[in-house]
Amino acid sequence: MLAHILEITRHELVVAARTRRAIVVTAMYLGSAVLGGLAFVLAVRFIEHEVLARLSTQAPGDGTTPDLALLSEPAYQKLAAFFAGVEPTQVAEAFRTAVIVPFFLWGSLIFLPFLIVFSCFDVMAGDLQSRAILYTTLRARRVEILLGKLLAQLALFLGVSVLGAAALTLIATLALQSFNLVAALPALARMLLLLAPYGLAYLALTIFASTWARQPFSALLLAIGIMVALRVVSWLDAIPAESSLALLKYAKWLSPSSYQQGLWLDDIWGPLSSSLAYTLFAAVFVGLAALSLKGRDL
Amino acid sequence: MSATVIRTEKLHKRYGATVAVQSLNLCVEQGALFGLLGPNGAGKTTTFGMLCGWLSPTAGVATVLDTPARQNYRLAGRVAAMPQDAAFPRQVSVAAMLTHWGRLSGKSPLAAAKDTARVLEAVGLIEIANARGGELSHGMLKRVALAQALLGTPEVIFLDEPTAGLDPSASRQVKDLVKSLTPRATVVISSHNLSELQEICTHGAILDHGRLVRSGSLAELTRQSAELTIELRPQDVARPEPLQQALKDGRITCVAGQIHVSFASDRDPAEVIRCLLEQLLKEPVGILGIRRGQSLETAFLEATTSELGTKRG
Repeated sequence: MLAHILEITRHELVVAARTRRAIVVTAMYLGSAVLGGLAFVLAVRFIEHEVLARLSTQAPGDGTTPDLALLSEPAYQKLAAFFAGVEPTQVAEAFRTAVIVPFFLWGSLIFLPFLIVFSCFDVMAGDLQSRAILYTTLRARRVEILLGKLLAQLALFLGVSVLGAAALTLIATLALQSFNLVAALPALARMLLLLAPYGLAYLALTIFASTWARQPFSALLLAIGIMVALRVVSWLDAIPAESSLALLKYAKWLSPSSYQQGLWLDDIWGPLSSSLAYTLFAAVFVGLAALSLKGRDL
Repeated sequence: MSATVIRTEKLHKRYGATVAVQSLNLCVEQGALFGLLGPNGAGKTTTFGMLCGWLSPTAGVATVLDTPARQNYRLAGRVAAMPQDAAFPRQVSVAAMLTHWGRLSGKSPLAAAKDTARVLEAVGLIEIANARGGELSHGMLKRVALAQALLGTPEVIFLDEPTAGLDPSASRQVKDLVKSLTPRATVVISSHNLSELQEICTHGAILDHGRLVRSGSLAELTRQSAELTIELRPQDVARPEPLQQALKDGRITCVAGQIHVSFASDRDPAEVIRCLLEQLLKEPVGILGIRRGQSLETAFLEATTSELGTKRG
């Protein structure tokens, strides 16, 4: 079974590398990461220069160079807290010190689900519509086909995330005096580790829609529909505690969005529980996709 | 006696209120070249899909090599199929795709690549191995689809309309190739092309309205051991009485240019032909040829028309 899954994964990666849309979506993601990152880095650099200039004018002629890192750290903490939506002290230390990482994580948490939906919506539906899947079902189980395609897409989006992070790191290294590459590496590793289960959940959601809908366009609409519905469920948290519908507040835990904040936290439990929740969401959607594919006529 | 490699028992498929296949009992013996015939809507494609494991039966059982057809993946490399309307992936080269399928059948990368070259050679397309699916013509795609069904050494091969859309030369090549597969493999062909099936099949089944109307060897289907047609010059009409006397048991029908003869299936056809020729040589008619049995087309029309008549009655 594993050999089949790995072979399908290898083949899907080859196919994806030759698919125009996959290349365009990846280029768009990398382009927006680089442009957004560049804008962010330039803004930070401007602030750094302003701070340095003011320090120099406030304490002229004392013979010392102003310590930019010391002064900027609280500002970076506030920035990271702003992206995370929590108190500065709650944000993981790694994210508080490497200024570019919170920005990239924040951007990825927003855009990665859309990248995944727009690049993967027809992963199964395309083969179902064209019936190309018939050739493979005589040689592999349907669930093996599903898992092989899932792994290939996971590898692709992780690869794109690594490339995006590398590009931003390069920009930050070149443009920011305060950026310390060695100090940022743990933060980058932590971010990519957290993005894996997060992306997997949305990937599984998209593949479920792609399996269930059969037509690529219907799969795209269904995936977006499920994402919007799950986002709406997360807003149930806003129901006042004294309301008669207060019990519905707990339904927010059925939405992946509700676990986003946990990824930023400093303690071990926050990121761990959020990662587990995303893995569970992925398992549920993959299970539903496998059931749908197993029972359907091709 | 040959082993049964494909079997269906009370196979039933329903789409909502429409019954596509009902209580189909079918046996295909090892080494047979089996034709699945029927008019549009007869249930051929549905039966084909259930045998390939692509469709779930509503009721009943379909087994291939003693394995439920729905689990055909367990027979990877032993069962192959050429679907009629499945698109060949457009972005990947033919060789890469065939090698991928070969590897899924358990071959090493090197063995799969060699096998790919072998099957492309067999269908006469080795020169387009590196072309992508999107660059091929309909006829080429058809032959590539056949090539993928030949990967490895499958024991059972399902072919859906294997020559549809091919030019006469390619069609001949495919027919010769299919014939060469037996008796090592058992081949099931679903087709509308009756003359083609008559030419290459050893056995067949005629479906109509989802039911099995007739099945057996091609000789049985076309009544080769119980009927013959003598072709005369178009303007000649033979007298039936002397022929009837020569035949003794049986039925003679004489029309302009033809004599149709029906006789008991336990009689030796050679003896029947000898008796009739002896008599005909005394008659002022010109004999152009003798054809044993009905054409498959006649058998098909007879079977499906009588079935329709039974239903209406």
